[in-house]
Amino acid sequence: MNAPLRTLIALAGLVAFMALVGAGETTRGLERPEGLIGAGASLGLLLIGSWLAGRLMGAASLPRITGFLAFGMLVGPSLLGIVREEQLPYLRLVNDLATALIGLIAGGEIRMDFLLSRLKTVVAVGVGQVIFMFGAVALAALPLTGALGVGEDATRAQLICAVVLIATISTASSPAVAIAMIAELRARSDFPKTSLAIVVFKDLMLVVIFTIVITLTSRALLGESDGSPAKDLAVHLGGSLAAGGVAGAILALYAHRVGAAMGVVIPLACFGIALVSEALHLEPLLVALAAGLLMRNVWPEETEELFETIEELSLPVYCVFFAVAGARVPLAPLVGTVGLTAAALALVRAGAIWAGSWAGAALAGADAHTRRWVWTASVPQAAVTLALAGIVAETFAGEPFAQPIFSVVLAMIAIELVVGPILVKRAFLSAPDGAAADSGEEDKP
Amino acid sequence: MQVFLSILVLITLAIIATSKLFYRLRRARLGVMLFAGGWPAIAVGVLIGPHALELASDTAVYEATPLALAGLGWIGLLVGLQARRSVLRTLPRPVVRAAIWDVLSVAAIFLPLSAVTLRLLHPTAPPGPVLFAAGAIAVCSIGWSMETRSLLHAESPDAHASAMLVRVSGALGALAAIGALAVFDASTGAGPAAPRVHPALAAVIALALPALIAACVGLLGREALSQAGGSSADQLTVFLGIVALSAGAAAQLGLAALVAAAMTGVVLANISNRQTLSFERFILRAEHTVATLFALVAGVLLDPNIGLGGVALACAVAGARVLVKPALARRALRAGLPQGAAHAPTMIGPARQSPVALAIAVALLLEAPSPLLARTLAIVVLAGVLSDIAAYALSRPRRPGALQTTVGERSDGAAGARAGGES
Repeated sequence: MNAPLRTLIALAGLVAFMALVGAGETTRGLERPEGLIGAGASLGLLLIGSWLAGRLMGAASLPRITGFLAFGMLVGPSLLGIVREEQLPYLRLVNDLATALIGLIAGGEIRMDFLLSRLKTVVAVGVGQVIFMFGAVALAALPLTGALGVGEDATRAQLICAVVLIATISTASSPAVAIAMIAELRARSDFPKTSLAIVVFKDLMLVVIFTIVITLTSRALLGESDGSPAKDLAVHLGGSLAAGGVAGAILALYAHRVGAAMGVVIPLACFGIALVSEALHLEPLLVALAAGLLMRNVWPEETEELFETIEELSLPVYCVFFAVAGARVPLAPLVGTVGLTAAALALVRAGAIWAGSWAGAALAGADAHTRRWVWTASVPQAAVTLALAGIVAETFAGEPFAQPIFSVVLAMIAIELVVGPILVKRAFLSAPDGAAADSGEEDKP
Repeated sequence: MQVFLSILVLITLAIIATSKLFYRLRRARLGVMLFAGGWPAIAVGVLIGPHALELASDTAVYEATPLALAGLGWIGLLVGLQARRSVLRTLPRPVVRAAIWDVLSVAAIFLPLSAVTLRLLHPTAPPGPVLFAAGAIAVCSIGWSMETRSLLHAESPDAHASAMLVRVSGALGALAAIGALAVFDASTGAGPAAPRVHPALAAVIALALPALIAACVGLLGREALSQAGGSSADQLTVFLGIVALSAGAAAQLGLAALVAAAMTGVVLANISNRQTLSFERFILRAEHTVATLFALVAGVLLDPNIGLGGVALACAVAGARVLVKPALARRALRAGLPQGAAHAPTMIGPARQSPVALAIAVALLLEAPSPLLARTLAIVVLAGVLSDIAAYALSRPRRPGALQTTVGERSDGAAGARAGGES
């Protein structure tokens, strides 16, 4: 029996096993929060099931993380329902742990000397992407305002705000996918690092842009505001970066003065980042990103072992992170008007990313491969986009466009998460210098 | 403000952890003992938990449940993997005798001691919960710690021979403790069949279901490990998936997660191929990480408000351990000990609580959360700390000017094989 068939059988057996366990769920007559009991088993299902699905994708020369995502979607509340909606909140801490680790990896991948040598390309492409994405999505959203909940009786202010908000949210991208692909392909050439730097730079720009947009739109629609949405956002995002700086300094201090038991310290640190982020309403990905960036660039020798240990822990982290992301994405919006709107905007967005990247790369004098492929890493969207869409939904809860925008954004994320990794893999594999290893290679024992 | 204070405390603790003084404390004999039991991590868990700084809110406590279950799965799998047929067949008779006598002593001494003490402390409480808590404490009292390096004062073959026997018998005791947990759990109405069928039949089903889970997950694990091949990242992922799945599935069916995970380990150990055996090194490499995280979560889950009565019970259990276990171990292992080794400091080791005790208490708490079991967990932790301190005091060299070394300063080559695993 060939390996893919055995994998498929194992996967089917696993899903059937979990369906039976779910059917026999018992609370022993005790009152428990809904979904708590099954969350542990769901964690195991998502971890090992996504890994098996990733292997199937790898056998088909597709990115493994597409398998992680697809498995999460399959067993999630939208399809088979083995991982139920009420279980997802209890996977949040595990997900935040995974997010923190991914953030550390992402920050650790960005070296300032490399960044400075590529600064022109990073800034030009990043700015180009933002300008083109914002403009193109805003223009494309204008005829689609009906699907965004802005009817004929809407005011001009509502129309403009809805369009501006969805255009702003669309500029966000997910560094997690780029990081995961760098790890999967063991891509060490300059191109993947440049791509990641652009995604991170763009997301940091988005902090400022979104703050301005949310301030202006809330003033326009909610009246004279005390700036609290912007203030909250500034605290949320600015505080995340500051907390990351503190976390990075402590980790570097430990690595320098003690340097032992890194395998214990890193998960504890990620646990701490997740806990503190929840308590202070910070963004764990940004906290960890800032920590990783600081450690890699200020204390590179002291933290070398720390980053090696982080890399060893990365595969199970990606499995959990992307499988949970897949389970969280509701697939119902993909059907009907919302799905069509999302598909149209996703296509426009991708086109705008390509155009903005090409223009920026050409302006910066980047090589042909960069001009052709650097756009791909900015296609996938995930946690940051979800967070921004959530802020919009919460801030403008009384407006007719809040929930439709949220649904459309979720649908866009679903589409881009499936397509994005495939594009990124193609781009990284075709890099001319130190071409990435194929994902079929295994570690030596 | 409280959140900021809590974070400040955590940062301070983190900075202290970076100090050389702290590192030296860890390597001192008492430090090794306490860290082997996970007590400092538990203390941090209590500090950040809902009963102290409240940095970990009640919501965070619930969110920690999947992690705690994964930790239980890891511990259970580790214990179960020791139960290889080829190894069990060659166990020395004194070791088997020690494990059997230990279980009998727990039934004869620790169970009545706990029940009577609890009844004296809570005379008006209904008998059901009192007996349940007493049974839980008794199950947690089975076995002993396998960490003996902190007790090795002299580089003598006798000391190392006795240490070896203590470790091996401790490992067997851990298996026995989990077996006792399975029986205890089944007898208290665990499992999906309990409300629907006769209690005796429900108990049989509650014993059979973990075995069924183990068989399914074990077979899946074997296949997945074969596919993972020599890749360290893939093996780690599969391993973590197996532990979370076996423990989580048991918890979802209202069974003790630890039992199902241990049975999964037994299945894997006995249907293993080369790949399965090679991934055990990850268990050993990840040992400290998982143990520390698990201890942290246990600290968050326990309820430290046990009052003087709870403290008295913990003292009674620790006292019984110190009085009974070393004497029992000496008697049972005598045939396997070199002459003179019966009174080596390592023979104090059986007074120390088995690391599986914490896992058993957490498993029961997660299966049927209640304030009673949260306090029972605290009593188990306190009994463990007290027995470690007592063992340290009793094992100190008595000769004036005797050389006191830190654990790390002795040659590691003389520490012996890791049969049964060290905590």
